[in-house]
Amino acid sequence: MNRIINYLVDAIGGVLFYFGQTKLRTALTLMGITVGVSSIIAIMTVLETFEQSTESLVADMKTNIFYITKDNPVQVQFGNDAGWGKRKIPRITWDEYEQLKRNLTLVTNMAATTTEEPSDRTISVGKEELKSRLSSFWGSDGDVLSVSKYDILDGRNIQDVDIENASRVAIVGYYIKEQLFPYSNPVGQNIEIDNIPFEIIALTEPKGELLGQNMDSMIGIPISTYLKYYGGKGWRGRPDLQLILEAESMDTLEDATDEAIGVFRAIRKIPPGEPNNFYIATNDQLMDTFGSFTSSIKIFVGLVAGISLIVAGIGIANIMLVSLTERIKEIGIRKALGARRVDIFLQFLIEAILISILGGIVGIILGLSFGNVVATFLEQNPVIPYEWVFYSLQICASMGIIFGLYPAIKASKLNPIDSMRYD
Amino acid sequence: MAKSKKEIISIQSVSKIYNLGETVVKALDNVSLSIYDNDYISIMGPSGSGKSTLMNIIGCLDVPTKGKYKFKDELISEMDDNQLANIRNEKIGFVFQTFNLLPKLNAMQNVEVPLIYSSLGRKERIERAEEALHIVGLQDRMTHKPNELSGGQRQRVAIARALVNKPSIILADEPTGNLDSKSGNEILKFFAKLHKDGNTIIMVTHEESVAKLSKRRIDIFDGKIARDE
Ligand SMILES: Nc1ncnc2c1ncn2[C@@H]1O[C@H](COP(=O)(O)OP(=O)(O)OP(=O)(O)O)[C@@H](O)[C@H]1O
Ligand SMILES: [Mg+2]
Repeated sequence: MNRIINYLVDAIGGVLFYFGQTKLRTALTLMGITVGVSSIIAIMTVLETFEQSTESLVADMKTNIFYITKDNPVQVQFGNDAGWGKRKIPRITWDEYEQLKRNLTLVTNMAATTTEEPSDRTISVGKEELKSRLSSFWGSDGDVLSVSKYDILDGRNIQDVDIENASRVAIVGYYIKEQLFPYSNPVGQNIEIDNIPFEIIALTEPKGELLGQNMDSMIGIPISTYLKYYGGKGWRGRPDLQLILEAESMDTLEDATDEAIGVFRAIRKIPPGEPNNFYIATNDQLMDTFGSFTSSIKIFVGLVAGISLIVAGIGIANIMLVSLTERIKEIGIRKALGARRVDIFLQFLIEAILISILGGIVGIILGLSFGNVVATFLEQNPVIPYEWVFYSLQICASMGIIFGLYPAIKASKLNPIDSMRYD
Repeated sequence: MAKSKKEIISIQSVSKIYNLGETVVKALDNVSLSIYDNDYISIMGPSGSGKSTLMNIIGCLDVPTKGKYKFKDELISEMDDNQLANIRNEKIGFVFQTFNLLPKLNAMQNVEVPLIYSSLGRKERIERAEEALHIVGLQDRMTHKPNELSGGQRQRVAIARALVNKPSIILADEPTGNLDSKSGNEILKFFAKLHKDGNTIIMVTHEESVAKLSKRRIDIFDGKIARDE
């Protein structure tokens, strides 16, 4: 035990000394590890901030809610809804929505929404036009506000009569007020969406940005109004709806989703044995898909970082071999004074590990700084991915072991007489 | 030689042969030798005669090609690397012509090196190293690095390092070879004192005057002992 402590103390001293002697070379070697580790940490930091914000997003949502959509919305968000070319997935239509609504028994509430994110529609008040693109234009019923956590600052929500009458009423986000009604309350005033006039019935509280999207650049109207005015001809079959369904409680959620699947399959006349041609998910499941998305990024990052770390590891082996030839005399003297093979072996190995960890620590600091700068830029809260900090240190230590092994064995086998004579 | 003395080293028909392909060098040729407790031996001989080779074998840095080497009751000639390392650490103190201090360590840390390999705790190590530096009169140079010390002082640090593990025998291969005569004499006085204190010392030297100070003199010629008195 004493020996081990001595090696550690010696090795730390040795590494610091060595570092001081050959600053440039050591720094260059460490750069490999630093780059590898910092890229892991930076990307994990950014991913973690994303995970945190989506988690809080989902935590805001009700858990007894589930969705029926054409595609996995998480994939849509990141990978475009090309349908992945495999098979033609039908859009969810108003007719299907109405049939479903008639037949479901375990669902207490149900809404259809359609969303343009972003939307290219022209938003104007008189001659004044909204200059930037609208982040989100949706048609739905009032429930969607609470589901997606918008609070009404002033005015009223969309009501059933609005849906029944396809009224031209609109809820606007705070950004719309800032841009088009800077000096007045928009509620009760008119706004034109693609030249169709709407009465503003509500202004929502500012929400800021989420995942780089301005949440306040938003306009919502009743789903029926949306379909009537923007659904085009034959709108009953055309738009792609997202259905939001609410089970009575968490306990009935599973039964309610099962029922919805059965009914929807019946509506679409899917023969038994065929897979669903729609996507159904609870909030939890959405979170899971997001998780699997981020984990595939992680695997990719892992591969890239792995390659850079292997290169770095070869650098470590190299620096240890150089250090070995520079210190043959020292090894000879130590052996003459009683160092056994294992003593020299451990001395070199510990040194290699310390060098790698040193590089790793620098990498972690750089990665955390960089990742959090990116996170702050995206208006996310700064985080420290502790797990990955720990993994990185582990990886560095193993690299020190793996790449320090050969030089350490070589050093331990030196013969004291010849080594002492070496200059 | 007084027969009453205790034998600590017994070398029987030891040869060290270097096979260099075409030529075969007999660095030691069938040497037999006994060394007793509190001996003070100087080894002399021309360059290349095998003095250092003999010292390395006695010091367990090297193993003989042939013959038997017994240190106290242990058969050194049969030992493996690690066993030899332990003997070097515990039983033998080396003093080299070129000092062989570790340049990045200070005097104190240099003296501590053998103690590290005998698993001593930090506190005891410091105590013993301080004591050893005291013996060689360098108590006020403990934090100096080798390059901040004179040649004579460096050799004294090396002697302190040789003494620190309280070895059974001190081996010095031309310890004054790199020193001016004044510092050399100091070192030799020092060995005389160590001998008086009961240590066993073997020293290689080129100088007749130095050899005179010892109690026993061995001449080596062509790998053979030519004189032992
Ligand atoms: N590793 C080796 N390989 C081959 N020959 C060696 C080796 N070491 C020593 N020798 C040879 O063994 C002989 C004895 O060498 P040694 O170093 O013992 O001489 P020495 O008496 O100490 O000489 P000096 O007074 O110059 O130090 C020499 O001829 C030398 O060339
Ligand atoms: Mg010699």
